[in-house]
Amino acid sequence: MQDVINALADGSGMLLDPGLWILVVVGFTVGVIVGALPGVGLTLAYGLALPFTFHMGAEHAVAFLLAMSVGGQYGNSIPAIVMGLPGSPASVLTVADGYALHRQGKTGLALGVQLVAAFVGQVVSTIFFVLLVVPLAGLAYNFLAPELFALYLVGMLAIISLTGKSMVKGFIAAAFGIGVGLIGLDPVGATLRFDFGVRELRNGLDTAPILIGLLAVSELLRQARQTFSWSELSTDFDAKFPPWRDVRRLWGFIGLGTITGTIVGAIPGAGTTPATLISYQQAQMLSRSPEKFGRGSTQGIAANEAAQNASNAGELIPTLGFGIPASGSTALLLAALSIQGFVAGPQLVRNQPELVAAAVAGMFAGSILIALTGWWQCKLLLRAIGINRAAVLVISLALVILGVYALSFRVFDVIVCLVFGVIGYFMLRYGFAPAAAALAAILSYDFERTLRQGLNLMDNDIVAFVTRPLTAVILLFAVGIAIYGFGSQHRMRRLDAKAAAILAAAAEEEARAVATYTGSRRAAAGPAASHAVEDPANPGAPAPPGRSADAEAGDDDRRSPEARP
Amino acid sequence: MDRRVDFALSIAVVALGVFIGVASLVAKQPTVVFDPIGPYGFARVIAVAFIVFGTILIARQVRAARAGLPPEAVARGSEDEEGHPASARRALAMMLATFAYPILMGPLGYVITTIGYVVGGLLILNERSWKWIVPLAVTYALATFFIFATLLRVPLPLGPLNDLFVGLGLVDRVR
Repeated sequence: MQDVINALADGSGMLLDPGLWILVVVGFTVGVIVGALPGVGLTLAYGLALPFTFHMGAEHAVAFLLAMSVGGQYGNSIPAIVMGLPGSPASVLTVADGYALHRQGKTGLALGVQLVAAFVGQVVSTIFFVLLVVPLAGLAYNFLAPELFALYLVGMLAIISLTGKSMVKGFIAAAFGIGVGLIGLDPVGATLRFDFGVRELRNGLDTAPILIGLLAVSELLRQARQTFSWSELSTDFDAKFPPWRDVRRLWGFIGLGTITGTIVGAIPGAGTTPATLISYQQAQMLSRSPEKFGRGSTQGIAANEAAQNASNAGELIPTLGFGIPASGSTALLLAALSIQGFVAGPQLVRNQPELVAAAVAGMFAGSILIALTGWWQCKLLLRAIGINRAAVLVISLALVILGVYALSFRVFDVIVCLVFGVIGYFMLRYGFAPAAAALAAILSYDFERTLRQGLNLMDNDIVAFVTRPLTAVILLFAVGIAIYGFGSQHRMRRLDAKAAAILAAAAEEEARAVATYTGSRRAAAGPAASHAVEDPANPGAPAPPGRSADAEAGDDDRRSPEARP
Repeated sequence: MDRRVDFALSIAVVALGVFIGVASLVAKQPTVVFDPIGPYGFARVIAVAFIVFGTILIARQVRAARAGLPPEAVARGSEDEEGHPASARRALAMMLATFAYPILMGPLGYVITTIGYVVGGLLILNERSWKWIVPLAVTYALATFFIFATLLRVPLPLGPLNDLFVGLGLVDRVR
């Protein structure tokens, strides 16, 4: 407990250093800008900033990089809400709900919820980080392959809530994601699988191009189907901070997102995107109005944003505590530390507590900047709605290509990203849930590895595998999630079907009423008028025929003759 | 969405399942297997999943076709914005341009292909004002080259402009 108090006190004390604040402000601002640009990402921003950290002290370097990370996680949701463009794969679900709210003229509500959730998620998770990093470093020897498999299974089960309107198609998408993870070397025996003689496939496919392709490029290509201006859709939007009573009722979901983001972010190989997807799924399960998710749910935004920002601190737990980087950006953080002469791990936490304090200072300072400047930055980016939409789409695609190339300097990675972008486009159009595929692709390798290594560890005894105490507890939790998740999805589909039936009945009733009205007017006008069907609102023009719900829904494509998906 | 394309995608799912299943069965199995799942256990499960779920989708679509429903159906995925015509050809043109961009980057260099891609992309999206299209493309290409190649040392190819950039001192080696 003394370690915890010291870390918090030392971290807060560092905030009195004006030099640190200069670095934090620069880092945070760069992070917000980079976060708002689709395809660029925090890893690239860290790569840009890393050479500058060589000239700083270790504490300043850590605080600077973490403030950048806080800014990036905050910034990537702003264009998601006002333009429908995810700044990173982690904000793709914010697009679904945030952009829907923006279209409903409730931009201020969406941005306000996002700001509060980001701030609270960041601050609370920083405290969790301090509370957990020392004890978890000690637990490293208790979490073996069976326990990790159980955690990955919990992650996989989040797919249930990401399946969209068709659960069968959602499972196909998830199977596709798992299949992608099977390419390359087998994680246990190093058997080469599904490389088809292509040298670049021998080490498997990198997850970053796959995620960016499935979640960002697909959406950009989908948006390229239409040409219009954002300001046409945003004439009456409200950009005022929402009343506190609207935000207060979301504390439960913000708390849920914070805890999920911290825990899932701490799992090596998981990170921010799975944290947000799982948090969203849990929020939908617990919500009294799950049918609103994906259509403008502030609960969905709250859970998603809190998890996204909390995962910053979560990722630091294995990074500083075990020396295992949880993501690309934390790998660069470790690189920065090693250049300064530090080796991360349990010894670092005990012998160099000032680095833990610097991490706390960086995250707290970033959180303060969210509170002080976050709303102003939202308003600034709102002006971006006036920017030419076509230019933003093309530049975003070009930046994505450049960003992916800059990761490993391989054109192959860019091609992979674009291939998955095209696959994701068709998934989006035909309801195959690219988010489910993305989550499965991230977790696939470690899911297989931990299952098979765990069985090895237990001498292939499945009973011994599942009855390990920690494993059993997590597996029971996973079973609970699965049952509740299926039940919740089933209830939502029944509600959707009822709503569709009510709408169809109302449309039929309206069509019958119009037919009756026009029939009676024809009879009153006499036989000469029998072939002229009038629209009562527009005398002289023929009335439109009655339509079925299916035909109406296909109208967008039928309006443009060349539009065939 | 077009039911016929949806039907074709369902058949593709089943075909993918068959392909993965066959590939995992004919692949050379390792002589030593450390666990009961083995290197191809997951692949076989995925193959079965594709075949089963794909068959369910095909059965539903055949039932819909027998019920005489029209080819256009309610969209099951992300929908287009209402009131603005959507063009699949535009999306396809954008995909082709986006694939051509990295492929041509090697021989033509980053700057030329980027200018071409930005201009081409804007033309595909119905922009016609050359007053800002060309300056935007040139500014973006040069600014990103400066940031990524000069500052971040990302090795971006220059193609025919290599000698010019070396002569100007913007790059210090052949790319």
